[in-house]
Amino acid sequence: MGLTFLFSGALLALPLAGLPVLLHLLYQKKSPVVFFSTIRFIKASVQRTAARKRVQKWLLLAVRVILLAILIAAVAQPAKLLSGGWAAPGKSSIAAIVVDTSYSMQLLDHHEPLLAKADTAVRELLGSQLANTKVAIFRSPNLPPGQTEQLHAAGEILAEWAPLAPQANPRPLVDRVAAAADLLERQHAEDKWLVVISDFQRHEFPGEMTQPKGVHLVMIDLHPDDPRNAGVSKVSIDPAQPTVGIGSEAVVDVTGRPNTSRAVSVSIASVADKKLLDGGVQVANLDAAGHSRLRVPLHLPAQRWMMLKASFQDDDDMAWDNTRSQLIETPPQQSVTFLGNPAAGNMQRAVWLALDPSEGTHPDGWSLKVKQGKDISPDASAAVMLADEWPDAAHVARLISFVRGGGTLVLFLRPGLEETWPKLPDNQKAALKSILPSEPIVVNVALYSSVAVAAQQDPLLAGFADERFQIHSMVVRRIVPFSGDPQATLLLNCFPRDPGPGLHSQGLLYRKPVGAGQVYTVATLPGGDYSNIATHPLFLPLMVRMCQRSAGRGDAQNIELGQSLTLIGRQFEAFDSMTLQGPAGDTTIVKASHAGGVTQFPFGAANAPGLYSWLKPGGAEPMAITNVQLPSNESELFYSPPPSLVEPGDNVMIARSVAELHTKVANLGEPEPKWTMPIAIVLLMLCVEALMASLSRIWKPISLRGVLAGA
Amino acid sequence: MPIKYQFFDPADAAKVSKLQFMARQVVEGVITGQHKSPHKGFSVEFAEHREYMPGDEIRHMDWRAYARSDRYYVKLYEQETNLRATLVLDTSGSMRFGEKFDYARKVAACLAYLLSTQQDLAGMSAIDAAVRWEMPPGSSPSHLDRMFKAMEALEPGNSTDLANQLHGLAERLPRRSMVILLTDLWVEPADLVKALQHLRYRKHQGMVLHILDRAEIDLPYDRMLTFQDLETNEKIQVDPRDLRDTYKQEVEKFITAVRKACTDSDVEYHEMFTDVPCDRALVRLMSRRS
Repeated sequence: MGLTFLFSGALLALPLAGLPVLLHLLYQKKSPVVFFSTIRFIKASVQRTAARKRVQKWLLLAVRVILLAILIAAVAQPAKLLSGGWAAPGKSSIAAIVVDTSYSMQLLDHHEPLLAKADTAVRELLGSQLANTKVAIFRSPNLPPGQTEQLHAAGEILAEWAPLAPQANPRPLVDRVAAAADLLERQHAEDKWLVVISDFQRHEFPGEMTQPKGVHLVMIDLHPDDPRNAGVSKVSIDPAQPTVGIGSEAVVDVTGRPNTSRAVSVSIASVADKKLLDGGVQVANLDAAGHSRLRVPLHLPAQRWMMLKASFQDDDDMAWDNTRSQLIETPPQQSVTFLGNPAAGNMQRAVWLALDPSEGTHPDGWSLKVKQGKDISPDASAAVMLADEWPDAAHVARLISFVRGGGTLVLFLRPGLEETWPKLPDNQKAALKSILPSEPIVVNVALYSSVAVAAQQDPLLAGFADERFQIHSMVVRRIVPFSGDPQATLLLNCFPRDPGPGLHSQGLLYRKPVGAGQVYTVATLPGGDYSNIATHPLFLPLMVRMCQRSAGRGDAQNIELGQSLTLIGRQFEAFDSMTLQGPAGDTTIVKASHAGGVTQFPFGAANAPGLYSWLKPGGAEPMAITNVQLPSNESELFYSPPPSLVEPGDNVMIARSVAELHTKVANLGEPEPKWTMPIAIVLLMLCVEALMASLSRIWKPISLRGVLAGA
Repeated sequence: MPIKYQFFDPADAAKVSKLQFMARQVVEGVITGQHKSPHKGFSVEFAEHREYMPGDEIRHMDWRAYARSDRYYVKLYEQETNLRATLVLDTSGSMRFGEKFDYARKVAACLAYLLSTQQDLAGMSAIDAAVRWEMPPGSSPSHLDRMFKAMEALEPGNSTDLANQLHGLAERLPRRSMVILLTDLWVEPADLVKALQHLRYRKHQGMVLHILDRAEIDLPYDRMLTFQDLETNEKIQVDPRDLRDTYKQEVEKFITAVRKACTDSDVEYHEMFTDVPCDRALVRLMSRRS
């Protein structure tokens, strides 16, 4: 930066600054003579004050000269001048352009995406101001570690220029700015320019930028004056492992301009984008912080893979975040054998209805396919049995065989059976003990017991502690007590409502793994004489969950663009490779890798949003699906103005557009005066005062100081 | 038609005529006047007894004392004498500043007239680097006439040697004279002390009338000036506004030193500013001495 004068003709008056000196010399020679009686005291006084007065005199003279010079300079209107503009001829200069390619740059400003504006800006800079400069373009966020962009001639870059495309960037843009500054600082050049083109979102610039030394920083702020808008920043399902037929909630997070409203529609679609369920439209009222959360009740259809979608009803200036989806996996429909007769009594019927509320009329809309029979059907994965008496040894053997083969047995026991336990043959007891939690015992049991969750973290009970399930209202009157050392996991507990001597809490629901399967033991019957569980809101979902395959196998993944796309799971250990089918139908063979005893199939970073299906070799049905979405944080537009990121200074230039930048550069060639009129007036008054004070040595005009002092 | 003098107006003297120009200490006079003489004699007022010595007049013998003590005593009386004053007028160049010299002449003339009216003797000596003019004490009208005319003819000189001239005066004057010095005293206080002490050594009574112009004290100039010394012709260019305070301190220090020198030498010191009318200054002087 240099200095110039808009009215340099005024500098011709600079010799006038010597006026105080001239007056000083004049009045020194023309002072009148006074005959005095003796000058001995004058001489003594002069000697005493000589040094101080000499300094004061010359200091005053210097100040007056400087004041006059400043006044003349002010009249000449000094101004800052960028020496030679961007790249002065004969000066070696380099530049680095950091361009923001994040998805927030998809925002439309006057019907043109910010990214397109950035693209135009880069090309214009390369073609004009930086045409003779070596430039490094920092546009990609995904350079391999240790690598950085290189300097190339601007012409070469333009010749190979590809339009900017949005890219997911897991790291903030400020990291790329730092890399660019580092590159410039390591180079030797007379002029170094760092150009940052961005919409300056807070997540890209979480803190103040470090001003690189010896580098001119140009920030082109493309953030619109009146940015939209809102975006769906997150969609999820509650509970995270939903059950078909059991109510769930879609949770939709909306981010946008504070204190505005947006209509949001929620729907369920198949992976083939066929609409399965319409969740209706709700209005998201954004709070003062610009956030809103909607909860939309849903009854999921019986599909293994589903896409939960939340979309704005109307468009805005950034379209890509107006819709967001979440891949949901529900367990496949299970075949259940009900080892009872629904017509045999209320208890049988209650269990039957809990397993299949439609009683077989909507087989596709329910997650269980229930059959009734005395023996477990071969295709059944679960069986439900209400035991009025201990099953005989042969029956127990069949049950054990079924469970060991991977089946799930839900066993209800009639209270009182514990009294017959001691009379059972040993072989029957031994067989029963292998599926029961432990040995039944005879103890005092309270007349009324309340039920509580004993294993809060167990997936079976996930969400059941919620108030809507009213677990505290479940009452058990009679129960089959088991010994105090159950080998199974206690899931539900019941404790006396009226504590008394010898009364203790007893287990109500146990789970015991047997072979590849598991046995759920309910220590009572769903009948009015024993409990109210048959009519309790928890009964149906509990029955369905117990009969379903265990959840949480992770075959459905939801990740964001730029994150690693990797398949992990014990169910895939048998395969050496998997076929990954991308959103466009392209397939890639992904080899298995084994690290730390875990088999995984790493694909790398997903670079396009959509559904990625993992197929076993030769298979057509996906074993797992990964839903790759656009980065949610990019839809949260919170602006960080560039002046808040850097200290203003001569080396910092901020423009809201390329056109404004051009204007500013042009203004550097035609600089603005840096002296305002009031300053010039004040300087003029000071100079007049100084001159009057000097002239007062020759004659005595009215002193400004005196006037001011008098005032 | 009465004689008109340039520096003497009988009206000024008339204003102070009621005051007695009393010597503060006993001086010798040539005639018996109103001033006590240190010489005990045989006058009117008894002073003390002294043992008779051959040659004493028999008429002064105190026979009553002889009757009581059987010894011969003579009576001694206080002797009243005339005051013999010498007005010393400084005619150095510095006295040319303002109206100091005229003022000094006026004061001197008034004092001479006053002394003569009370039968005292007034002489005059005009000194600068040398004795310019001298007139022995006298009291007759013709004496005053000559004195006033001589004063009118005086002009201030260029340089001064007041201290040395005072030394000479101290030796020349008869013992126990009164020396009234009218000067601006721009001499070194140390030299002045020695000269005044010399006067005192010779039993003279000293009085310094310090003739000053206000401008010498206040330096009331508001622009750059070149000051030229009236005695040495030396020049200096200064802005009085810059050093006025310091100058005042220096002058005050000098006057304090001079006053102290006079006090230490038992010499009266009186400042007389030329802007104070001569008669008022004399009345004030007499009031302080009475």
